[in-house]
Amino acid sequence: MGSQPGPGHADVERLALVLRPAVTGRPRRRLPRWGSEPLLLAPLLLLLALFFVLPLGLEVWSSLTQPRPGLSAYRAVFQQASFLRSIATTLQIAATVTAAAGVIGYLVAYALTRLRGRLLTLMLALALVPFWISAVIRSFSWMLLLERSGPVNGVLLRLGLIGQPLQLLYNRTVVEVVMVSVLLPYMILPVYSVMRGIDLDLMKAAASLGASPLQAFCRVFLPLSLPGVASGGLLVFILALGYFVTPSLLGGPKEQMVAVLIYQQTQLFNWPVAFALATVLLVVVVALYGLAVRLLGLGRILFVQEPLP
Amino acid sequence: MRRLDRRTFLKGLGATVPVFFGGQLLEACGGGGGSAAPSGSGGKLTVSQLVVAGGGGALTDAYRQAYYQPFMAKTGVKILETAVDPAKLKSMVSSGDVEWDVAQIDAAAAASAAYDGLLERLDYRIINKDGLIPQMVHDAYLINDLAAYVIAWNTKKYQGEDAPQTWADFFNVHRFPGTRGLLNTPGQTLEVVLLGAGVDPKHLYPLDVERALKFLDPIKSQLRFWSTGAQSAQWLIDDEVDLGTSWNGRLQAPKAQGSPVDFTFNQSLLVADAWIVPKGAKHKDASMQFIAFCMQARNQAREAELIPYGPTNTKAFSYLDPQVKALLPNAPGHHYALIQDFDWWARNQDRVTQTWNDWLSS
Repeated sequence: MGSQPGPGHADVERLALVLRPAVTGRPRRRLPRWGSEPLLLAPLLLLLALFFVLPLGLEVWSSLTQPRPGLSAYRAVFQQASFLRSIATTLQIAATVTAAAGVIGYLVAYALTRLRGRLLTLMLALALVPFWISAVIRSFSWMLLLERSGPVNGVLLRLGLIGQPLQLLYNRTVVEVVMVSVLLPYMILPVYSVMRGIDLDLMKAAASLGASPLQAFCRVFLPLSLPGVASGGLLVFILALGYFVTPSLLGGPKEQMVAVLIYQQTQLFNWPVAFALATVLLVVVVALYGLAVRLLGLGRILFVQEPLP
Repeated sequence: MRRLDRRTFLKGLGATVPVFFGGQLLEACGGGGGSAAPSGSGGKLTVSQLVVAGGGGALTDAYRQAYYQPFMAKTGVKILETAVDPAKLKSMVSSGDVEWDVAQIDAAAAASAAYDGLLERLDYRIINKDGLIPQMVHDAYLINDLAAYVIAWNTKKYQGEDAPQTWADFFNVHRFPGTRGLLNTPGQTLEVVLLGAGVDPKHLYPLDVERALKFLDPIKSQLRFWSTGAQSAQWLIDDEVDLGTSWNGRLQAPKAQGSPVDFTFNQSLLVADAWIVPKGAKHKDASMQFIAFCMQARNQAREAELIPYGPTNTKAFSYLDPQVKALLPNAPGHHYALIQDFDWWARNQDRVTQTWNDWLSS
């Protein structure tokens, strides 16, 4: 992303170099190397080890040792068509949701950067309202809105656009639409915060060097805002992979995502398979993340520390 | 998992939203003092409190009035309520840290837990079997009440004779066009599908899963699957499905309040709640005495007055008014098809659930 070839590529890179302080907002302060940091980090590391690494390790360990040592739980996962389908469905839904949230979130964040004062506060609050309402309640609200006797069908019928109420619920589209609506704040916030840090004078500078508004946007603003899109996209994608509420309430039998099946297996006392399914999901997430870092240079975008060459 | 789902569903959601309300002990209101207890229904009770896990909602409200509060009043033993969850049962037993003394759980889950060795054997020297329907009495679980999985419809659409009365009607898309709602688990659903396909209730088990799925294949696009009892009732009331299934206890209240929904006990499948004692429970004798108390005819009759689930102590019927009896699944005169075979499900649910999931997702 930050390194697509083409004419003017080097210019952008050079510009980015100059702009670094503008992006991070303020010059970086260097902390002393290895002073008291390990000690200060200890509580956090201990917390992570105890409540994150250890349970996760136990989970993976159990998937390999129960009901007997070996890969029997994984064999159960990979031999069953519905589990494989569910993993594929989960990845597809997460990808679609991330893409849609990326586009919508970008536009919303961009619009927010153009606002000032009370209007900005109001719009920001509106964009964040979904954060304050639980996903359960929002999924139920969508259900009421879209059911056969719901207001959406009511309006369409009254307008004469349809003769029979449409079946709007219990399909893939509604799951994806609702997930986007729920996860959007996770995209808007990082994108907005990065966009806020971009010095808009740079656009003027680009214009003064002869760039059209579109060129200035594509060559200057867009590349500078990509770190926000990357971190927002990662957040949304990973959250979407583990989604439970929305697919179980609004999905049909073909939208059963992995989390729903994991829950089902725990309720059937079938823990080894639940562990194995969870581990497969974890491996997929880590692998995709690694791939993104490698192929898309995601790591460089997410954690830019050193000036680009 | 059958009826359990509707009750544990929100707890499942709790895992993904930061409002987990399981695990917390809620003290049943109106409790007696914490002092050591006088005599119970059998021997002496030496504990001051028992932890009873339940499904929550309207059922636990009824249990509180019918069982918990009278038990506290009689013995002085305080009942602490907590949320039931099969996964938690398993983790408590395997870690050896058993918090519950007694739990009320879906009978199919109870049979499955018994099959997996997660339960104590019940002590029938303390629990009196007199008057209990023999089929309800098991080594490690005891069925306390019966609910009916029924054929239901919206009364704006069908009335009286027009409404479907059998499972053959229910699955007949020519006579009753449109969508139908079914429970999203193989348990209960496969039973009624086979009844619809014409299998004799007496020879339903072992379930012919292939036959059931083949019977559903041509109408698959017209099936909708619900996961909670609340959803099943809402679908019928809101006309989201043209025909539906639900549990009688879920439909009785909205029907009585005038919602456009009705159902028949005809050919219904009876499912159940059971009492269990987790393996390694700390106050086994007191747990057995508590269960013994709950199984008494008069107490079961009180539950039936509060929520329309049928007592399993046949003597309870003699305490009940005809109006109350008319609402109970196993009352004389109701032609239910059969009681679910919980032990068959305990042995076969892994295999059948796999086949079912594959079929559903294909």
